[in-house]
Amino acid sequence: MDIAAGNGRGTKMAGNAPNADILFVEIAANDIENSVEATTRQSFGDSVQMLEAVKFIFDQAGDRPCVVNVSLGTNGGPHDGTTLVDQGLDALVRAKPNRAVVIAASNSYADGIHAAGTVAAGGTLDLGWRTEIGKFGRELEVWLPGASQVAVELLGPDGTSLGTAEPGTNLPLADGDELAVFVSNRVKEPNNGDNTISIYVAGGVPGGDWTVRLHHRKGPAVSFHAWIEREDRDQSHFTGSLDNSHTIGSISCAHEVIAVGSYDAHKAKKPLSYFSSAGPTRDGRRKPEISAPGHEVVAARSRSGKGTTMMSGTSMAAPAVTGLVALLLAEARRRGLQLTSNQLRSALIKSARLNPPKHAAGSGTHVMGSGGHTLMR
Amino acid sequence: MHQTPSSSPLGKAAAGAYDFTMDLSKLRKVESPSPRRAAGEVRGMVTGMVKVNKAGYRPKGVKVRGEISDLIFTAEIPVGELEALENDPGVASVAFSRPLQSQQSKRK
Repeated sequence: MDIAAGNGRGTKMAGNAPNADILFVEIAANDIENSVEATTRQSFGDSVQMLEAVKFIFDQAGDRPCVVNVSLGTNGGPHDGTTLVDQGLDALVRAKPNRAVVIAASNSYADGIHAAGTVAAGGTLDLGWRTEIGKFGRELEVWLPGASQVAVELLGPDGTSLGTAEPGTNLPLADGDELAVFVSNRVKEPNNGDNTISIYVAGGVPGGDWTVRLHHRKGPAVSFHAWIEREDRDQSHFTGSLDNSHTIGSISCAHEVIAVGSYDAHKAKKPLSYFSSAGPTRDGRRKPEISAPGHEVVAARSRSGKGTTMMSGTSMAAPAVTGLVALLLAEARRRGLQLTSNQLRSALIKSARLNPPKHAAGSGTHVMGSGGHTLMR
Repeated sequence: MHQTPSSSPLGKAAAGAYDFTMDLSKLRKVESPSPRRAAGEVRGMVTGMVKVNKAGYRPKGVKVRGEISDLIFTAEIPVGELEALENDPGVASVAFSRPLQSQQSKRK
């Protein structure tokens, strides 16, 4: 918040929009009934609360220009802007002009959480999944076109086949009287018509190199994308060569939001941070739209003893862009302009510096998402 | 749960061992939840989002938490109502909440 709109009295450096009115919403887990374990054991809430928080802020703003900063994310999901939380964010932004939602792109670039490939007609394809013995359980999702017919077989670390889930079926696996593994092979998602394979390995199940074997059943060859859900205390990852594309957080893939990556402003060439998640989205849109300093950034922090902290992450980059959007919106209001989110996005990107300069539009999308647009603060 | 699969092969869960109250093969309008949630036994109430086909329509049996747009709202949904939502032609899709995490990488 300090980076976006701090007054500088604590850090000696004001945020980008120090005169902006600030509204902070804390997303607590305790108003959710029957929350799953993953929600209740951490304090960053869930997609429903986040959507309600954005709505609350826009409602409070009324007809005033308003930009919302969101530094939350998840690796799972279709990454195509079709989920209801994506649609909800888009609807909120489109409801009035001079609105924006800025979201941190995520910090999973180097975590090995994405894989993609093509299962040949009549063939199989193996995904290696390395896990440790963890307390919290691991989650993996594979997204495939709706017309595809692909079965999934799970092999344990010792190579034993634990079973196969055909399209449209579930495979629950138990160790004694406890659920150990759950595989779901679902067809025809309601929002995009795609198929989804999801695998959950419960906490306490032995770690090692698992194999997710995709069996083509019929029709043409099938391309897919797969993601491993984030678990900072026990991050599992794909084995083999890294595919760092498409590592952008799922909720950053909504059409109307501005996704922000991180670069290292301490270095002369301003390289992207090693952790800054990359686009594009699964439906081929270029994200993140822009990057900002997010590497070892000093910002205000209460209860730190000295009033500041130094942290890295796209969470430190996004509020820099949020502050700039606030300035843009203030100027738009002064001029009586009614900006759509696309106009705002265009203005932001036009004001950014391309880094490296030789990147032409369309190149470097793997890493930069949007042709290498980098914001210089 | 603490033996390797080779010494204790995982067995297929016995019928009735788990109450898959949200069997997604039957709930075609429900967006795929997180694998953890798909695996879990869920009873009582779930928190989620509902999209309807007609502006302003709000199906009976769910408690509206917040209005997001004419077509989308957040809600508390009794698990027992999921089948009714599945069969409601006014309902386009349903999504359960997904946990979110901070995008702060590390402190120095």
